[in-house]
Amino acid sequence: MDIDDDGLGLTGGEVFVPSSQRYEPCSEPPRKKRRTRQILADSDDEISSSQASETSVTLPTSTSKEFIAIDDELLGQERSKYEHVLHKPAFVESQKNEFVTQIDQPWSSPTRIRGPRWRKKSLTPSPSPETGPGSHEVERTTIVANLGDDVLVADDFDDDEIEALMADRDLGTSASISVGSGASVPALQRQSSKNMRQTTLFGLHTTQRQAQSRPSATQAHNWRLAERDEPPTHHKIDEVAMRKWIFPLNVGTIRDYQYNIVHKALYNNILVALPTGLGKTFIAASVMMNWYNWTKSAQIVFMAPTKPLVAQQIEACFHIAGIPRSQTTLMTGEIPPDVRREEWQTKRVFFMTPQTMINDLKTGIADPKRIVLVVVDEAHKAQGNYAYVEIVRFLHRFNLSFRVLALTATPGSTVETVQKVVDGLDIARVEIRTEDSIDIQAFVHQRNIELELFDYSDEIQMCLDLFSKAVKPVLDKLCSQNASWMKDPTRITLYGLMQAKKQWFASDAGRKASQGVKGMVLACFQPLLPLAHNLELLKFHGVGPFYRKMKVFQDESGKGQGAGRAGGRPPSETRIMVFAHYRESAEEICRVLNRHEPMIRAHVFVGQSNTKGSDGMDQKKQTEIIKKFKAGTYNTIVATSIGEEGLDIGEVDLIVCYDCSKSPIRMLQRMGRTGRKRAGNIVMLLMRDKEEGDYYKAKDNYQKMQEMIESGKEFTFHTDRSPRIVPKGINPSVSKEHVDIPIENTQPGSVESVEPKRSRGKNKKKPPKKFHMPDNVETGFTFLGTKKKKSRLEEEKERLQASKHKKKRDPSDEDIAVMPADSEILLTPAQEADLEARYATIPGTEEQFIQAIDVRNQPEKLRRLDKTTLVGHSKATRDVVQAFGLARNSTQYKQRPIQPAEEDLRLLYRQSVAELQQIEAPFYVSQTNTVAAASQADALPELNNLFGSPAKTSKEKPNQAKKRASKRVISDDDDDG
Amino acid sequence: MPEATDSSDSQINDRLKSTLWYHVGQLVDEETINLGVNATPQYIGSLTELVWAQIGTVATDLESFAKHAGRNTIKTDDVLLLARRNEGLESILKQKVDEIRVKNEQKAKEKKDAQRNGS
Repeated sequence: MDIDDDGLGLTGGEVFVPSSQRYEPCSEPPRKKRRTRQILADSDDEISSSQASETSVTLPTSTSKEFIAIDDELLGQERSKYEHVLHKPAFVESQKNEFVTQIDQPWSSPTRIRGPRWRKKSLTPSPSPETGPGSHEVERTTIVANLGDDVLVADDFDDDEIEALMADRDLGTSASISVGSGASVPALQRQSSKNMRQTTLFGLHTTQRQAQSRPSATQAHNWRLAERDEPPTHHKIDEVAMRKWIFPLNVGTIRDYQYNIVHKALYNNILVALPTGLGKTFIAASVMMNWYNWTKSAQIVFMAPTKPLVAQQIEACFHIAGIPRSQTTLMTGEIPPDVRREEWQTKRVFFMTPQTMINDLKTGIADPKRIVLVVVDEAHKAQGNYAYVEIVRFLHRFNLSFRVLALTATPGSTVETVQKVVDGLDIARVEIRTEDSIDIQAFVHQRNIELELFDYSDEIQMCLDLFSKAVKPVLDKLCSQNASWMKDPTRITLYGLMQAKKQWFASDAGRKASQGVKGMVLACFQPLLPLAHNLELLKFHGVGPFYRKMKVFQDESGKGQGAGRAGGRPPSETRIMVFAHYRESAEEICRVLNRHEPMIRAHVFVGQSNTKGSDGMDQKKQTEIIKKFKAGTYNTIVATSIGEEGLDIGEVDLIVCYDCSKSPIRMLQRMGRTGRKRAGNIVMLLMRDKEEGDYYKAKDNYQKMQEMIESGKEFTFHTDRSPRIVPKGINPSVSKEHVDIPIENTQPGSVESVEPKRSRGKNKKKPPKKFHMPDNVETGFTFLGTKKKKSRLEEEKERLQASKHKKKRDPSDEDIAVMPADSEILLTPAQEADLEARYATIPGTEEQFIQAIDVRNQPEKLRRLDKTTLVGHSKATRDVVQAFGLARNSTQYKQRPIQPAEEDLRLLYRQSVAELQQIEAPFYVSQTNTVAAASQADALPELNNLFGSPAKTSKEKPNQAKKRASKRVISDDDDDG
Repeated sequence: MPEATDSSDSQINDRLKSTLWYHVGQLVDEETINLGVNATPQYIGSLTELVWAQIGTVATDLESFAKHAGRNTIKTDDVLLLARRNEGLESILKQKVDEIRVKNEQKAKEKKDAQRNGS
């Protein structure tokens, strides 16, 4: 309570300052700086101020040395005004040789005759010519040219690439085409090579250089992938393993094209198009193995369109790359989801069909963020909305760092289709080898293609006649309406009719025709369409299938006779595949072939779906047949299109194409089934006329397609979506070694047991759907309309923006002041001596102490505001001074008068009590015991409360004010600079 | 005032203080000559103590301001915050900060221009 005693007691660090704000040491520097700034600033007043200061030099002022120095500089500039009048030989040095790209002689100044100019050697950059300061422009053009050269050279090699290129060079010949877009060439370099055009001194463009630099769209250059900046991957990377990449030698010789492709596929999203039987699987396995080793927990997915294909790849991966079986799983739609979920949680390598994959991603069983590598087999299917495309798109939403490796034998028939694949799978590079590519020539087995042409048999001819008689009237009707131009009923085709129908309805005549005519035309087309299909069967597949189809159509029949003409001379080891378009013909062929049992043991191989007249085969049955075929139980397979793709049955010696397709992809895939392990034969059975034409068309298409894709000009690649993933600093070096295959992989039955067992428990319930969220996605509810609540994301955005804004606005804060060294700050011995002499020694023997300032010693000063120079008094100071003034004045006031009524009451009461006690104590107590005791006990403190406290507060007031004021002084001092 | 923990720390503290003493003394001398008055060594000593204490509080304040803003570096904002109680001082500091900012921006622009011309 007693503040007066120690209210101003100051502890340790607190220091009192008098109210004056004259902070002298600080007042000088700002002034100085302001002057210097005026000189530095490039404004109009600068001139006046500098002139003013110029004159002020003569005056004896207390300007600092620094200031004078600046004035001197300004004077120097002023002097140079007359310089141009005087002659000064600017170019004294001797003439130098100049090396330029064009040797036309530009103008040269008479004051300065330039030296001889020589043509620079075009590709070896000459040492940059030394020229005088006057020849800036000439110099610049040459330097730009040099720069361009350097860039071109640099562009052609990048770190990842050199190794591969060396390998190519070792081979001597190279037909590899590596095509990439230049999207990620470092911006500066590109700018210089692209935007800079070499000109002569007259501003004309030189033509030389342009001829050399190809337009960038078609430029096939490799970019500096290793130096590209990209956000670091979220996958856990095994840094030790990543120092090298392994090229497995388990299959024997190194094939250079495989080496090159694997090397590139590790860092790019790549589309590999290799002819069949050249080891796409090996490439896939090698890439998978490396990524498996490089990452710690990331998952790898291999996808192929059908289960037999998937199963086939597993074997290769086990035996080539040595990915442990315990980490591998095969999952197709047959595996129940709960088992799949368990697999997704425990395994790292997945062999799947794309449909299963997308389902698992959509239901959330699979975590898209964990996936680091997606291998896509038969990648040409990745068009439109096929599951492949969907998967890549899906993954991209969640996961920005995953690698895609797309494999196919036939990328597509046109540039557009290949582009679709490139788009769908985020491909950044294409690696294409054709059978003609030199580096694969050694590994391609010879294939003999025989063509056998057939004419229509008498029966077929007869059927055709009958058919045409039946169809003719309908067709004529159409022709009369101009709806069809085909007059010969034996030449109608399904496609032609469809086209005709569409055209007619789109045409003028079709649109304006009355409802009746329209109905008539439609009625004519309706039966013709299936008939056209039947006709095709008759023509190319014989009477049998035709008959059955016609039966279905409930029309007249042709006598059925098998048209089996498959060639197959059977040594017991041979394997034959027969391809047919339709299931009916496949079955027919099979039936005919089986007449020759046991020499020919044939079986059909068809797809899963059931159709009229024949049942499909499920995948189990398919794999079984393939196995039996390999084992020799069957030596002939009659397959529809399902057998075309991917099946790797090494020893197929003969391919019989029962019919022909215009599609080059299908032809190629069919042919690809043979010639894998030894030379193979292909027999094409073609009907004269149409099929023959188709065959040549297909062949032609194929060649054209290969050419176009090889040139690779028209593709736009997605380098932006193909991260390197391997961190910037790491450049794995190759290690060609024999990979140890884990024992578990080589044990018999290892491939079969990869497939997870059906659910162990009874728990067949579908696992709950789990939602994986992409990064930076806002979940939960957002409040709309009210300004109070902002979503978390918005807030963060704002904060970010604000900080960005601030950064932009506040460049003064960008550089951090350097801590000066102690030696710079601390006193030198001389200075210390000076200090000792001037400030630290005091005459006399008495000890001197520095004490805290006692404010009470200066009461007058505390009540007055002193004069200030630069910095005015703060509000706090003014408050304090005011408070001190008030405090002093308040002591002159009388104490607050207590109301007389209260005073009287109190006195009266006290008196009465005292009197009572004095006069008749015992009696009164006994008599009025209760009253008095109660009144004494209760009333007194109450009265004290009532009267005592106001009196006290009135006394306290100035003290309190003082205390507050003193505190303010302290805080004021502390906070003001 | 932060307490010195080590003997070397306290030593350096002492030496820093003596540096401050020296410079305060010099400034006072300069001013007294201009003003035509005298200052006793005691005055210089107490002024040094005062400045020393003030520096200590300013330093800790700045540090805690920066920490409060979630930064590791003390920025001009912190200094402005420190001067918030003294309006006159604050406005002077603000002016100063703006000047520096403008200057830096100009410099950055010049640099950019130079780069553009150079390339």
